[in-house]
Amino acid sequence: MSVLLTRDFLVSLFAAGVRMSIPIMLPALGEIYAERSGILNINLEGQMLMGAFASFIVGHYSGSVVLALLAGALAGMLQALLMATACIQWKTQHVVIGIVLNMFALGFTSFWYRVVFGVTIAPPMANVSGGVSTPVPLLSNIPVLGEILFSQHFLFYIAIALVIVSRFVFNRTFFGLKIRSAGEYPLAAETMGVNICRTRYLSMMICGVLAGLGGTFLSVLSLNRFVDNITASRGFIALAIVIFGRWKPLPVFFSSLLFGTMDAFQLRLQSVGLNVPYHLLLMLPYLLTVLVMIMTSKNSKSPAALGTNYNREAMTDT
Amino acid sequence: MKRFFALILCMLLLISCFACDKGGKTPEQSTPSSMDGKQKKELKVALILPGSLNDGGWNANAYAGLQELEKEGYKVAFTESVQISAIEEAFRNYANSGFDLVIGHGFEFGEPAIRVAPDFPEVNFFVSGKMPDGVTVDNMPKNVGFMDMKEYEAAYLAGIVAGGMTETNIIGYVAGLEIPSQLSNMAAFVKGVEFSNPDAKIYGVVTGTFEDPNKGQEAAKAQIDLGADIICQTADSTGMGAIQACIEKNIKIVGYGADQFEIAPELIMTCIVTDNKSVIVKQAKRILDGSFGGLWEPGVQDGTCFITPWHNFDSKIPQEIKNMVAKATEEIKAGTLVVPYILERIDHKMDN
Repeated sequence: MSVLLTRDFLVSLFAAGVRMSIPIMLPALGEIYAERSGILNINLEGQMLMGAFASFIVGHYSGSVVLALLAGALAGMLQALLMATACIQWKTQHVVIGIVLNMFALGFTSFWYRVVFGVTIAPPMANVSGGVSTPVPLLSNIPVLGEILFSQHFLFYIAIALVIVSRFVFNRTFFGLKIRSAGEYPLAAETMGVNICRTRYLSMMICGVLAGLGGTFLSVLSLNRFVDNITASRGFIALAIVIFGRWKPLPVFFSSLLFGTMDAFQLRLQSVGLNVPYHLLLMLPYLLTVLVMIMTSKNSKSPAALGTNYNREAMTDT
Repeated sequence: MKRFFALILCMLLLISCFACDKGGKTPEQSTPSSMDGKQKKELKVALILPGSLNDGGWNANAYAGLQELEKEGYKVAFTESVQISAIEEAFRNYANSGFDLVIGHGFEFGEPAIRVAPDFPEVNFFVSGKMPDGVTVDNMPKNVGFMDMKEYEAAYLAGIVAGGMTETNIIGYVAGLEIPSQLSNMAAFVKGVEFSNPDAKIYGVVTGTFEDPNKGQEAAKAQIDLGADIICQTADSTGMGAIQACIEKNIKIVGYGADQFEIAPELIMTCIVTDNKSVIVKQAKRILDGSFGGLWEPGVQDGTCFITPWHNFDSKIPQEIKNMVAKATEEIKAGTLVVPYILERIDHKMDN
């Protein structure tokens, strides 16, 4: 038991937890924008996948981490725009079109990867100089806390900034109010002069950018390679995290951290060979998610118009 | 109504885009040309893979075998990344389209093959894995062939190498799904390490997936943080992540599935390999000579399973270890050494 309580073990556990939460945290944060504006964006996984793929291609050929990040964000955004157009313009069922577009993204990325790179035993590398971690000067010298929080990948610091910005946007800005009203009662908002369609498009674009960045972390920054279906259902976990975090940036941030840490904990417990069936450990993070969702579901309210299409001409929700 | 129509059209368009993924590969099957095997040309072989062709291991290697057959003049086709729930459908699909041999590449294909086989007596089904529980050579359909591959014998040899090369006496092991082949590999690896270095501990993780490199990466990092200086991975795409973690931290690797030497030339000591290429080529030949079916048990003995040569580690691995490996290989081949087949976790248990 003693090995579990050593300082090194705990630091490495929490640092890994933070690391593992990054690719869930960013898409989940984006999903808040989408869902708050009324669009149930099941396509999150596809947006991540597109981001992972585009950033890999650009990173591989340019070697620039900035270009790779831009490409990832752009690809995620384009996929989100497709989803948004389907929901807003063509008024399709959000869940159905989301699933279809996920399949599309999986097929699209796998196919074009095959076309560009072929089948090889040693998959090509992205080779960007992103660095595994970028310690923050001074802050990273703080014992324990510095090692856990401030010796992370730079995308984590960006994520923290985005969480704070998002919190501000939702609570303190007119744009945030517009997003919330579009997701709560679009008809009333429209009569007050809010352009529902434009607000939803914008929210989806923000969501796509964040999901694309999450994908970029997985392919270019973390694995340094692209493999088929590299996101491995993290987009769906992010969807659950949003509900878990009650559509609020700060709770979503901490839920992601919790989930990442549970996953890291599971891998470590198994490694040190705790006398517990490891099947239990495998389901630990998911079990926790379910439990907390049951506990929080009572006082958690989804946006009232979530998943409904807004029909401007008819002036009703359909 | 118009809108509904537009929606349907749009979906069809999207689905066809997705279908391109499968369609894109078909050009490869229309190129068989060599004239050397006229009767072979009649034989159509289909391969169903559980994962992606690009995993650099288990699936990639089988695909290489299929390409070999294609060069020899067989008609071939394949489907990759087939979910467990879709296996039966994939089997039926190929059987219906007149294929003579349908190969399901993995243990999880066993039960669907048993279910489908009686409906297609003309078609031969081969499963690259053990028979499911309750099925014996006597009660299974005649047109199904199984392979009880003794890959764990090769894992044992790799364990000897890892045990001899570790300096911290801690070795990490990243496994994929919890299936017999993975568990027996892990246990045999532990036995191999014990043989060459009784003091070494093995920290094992069953990640529960073959397809999540990020998870494999973190699993390996966890073991490295705990002091491991060698990581053995047997988890296909998940293992690709484990290899990446080792590259970041400069940790020695035992690879899996194919000779992965190219991925990390300075770090890969050896790889646990099943010659899936020859496994697949052999099945087609077994059909032609009428010996197909039943249980086929390849292993180190007939050269189907082995560990790859040392490449850059040739000078770094002590002669003593090389001799141990060579001796164990000889003994396995002669039948004097029987590598234990264990389906339990015998890696390090914390004493509490």
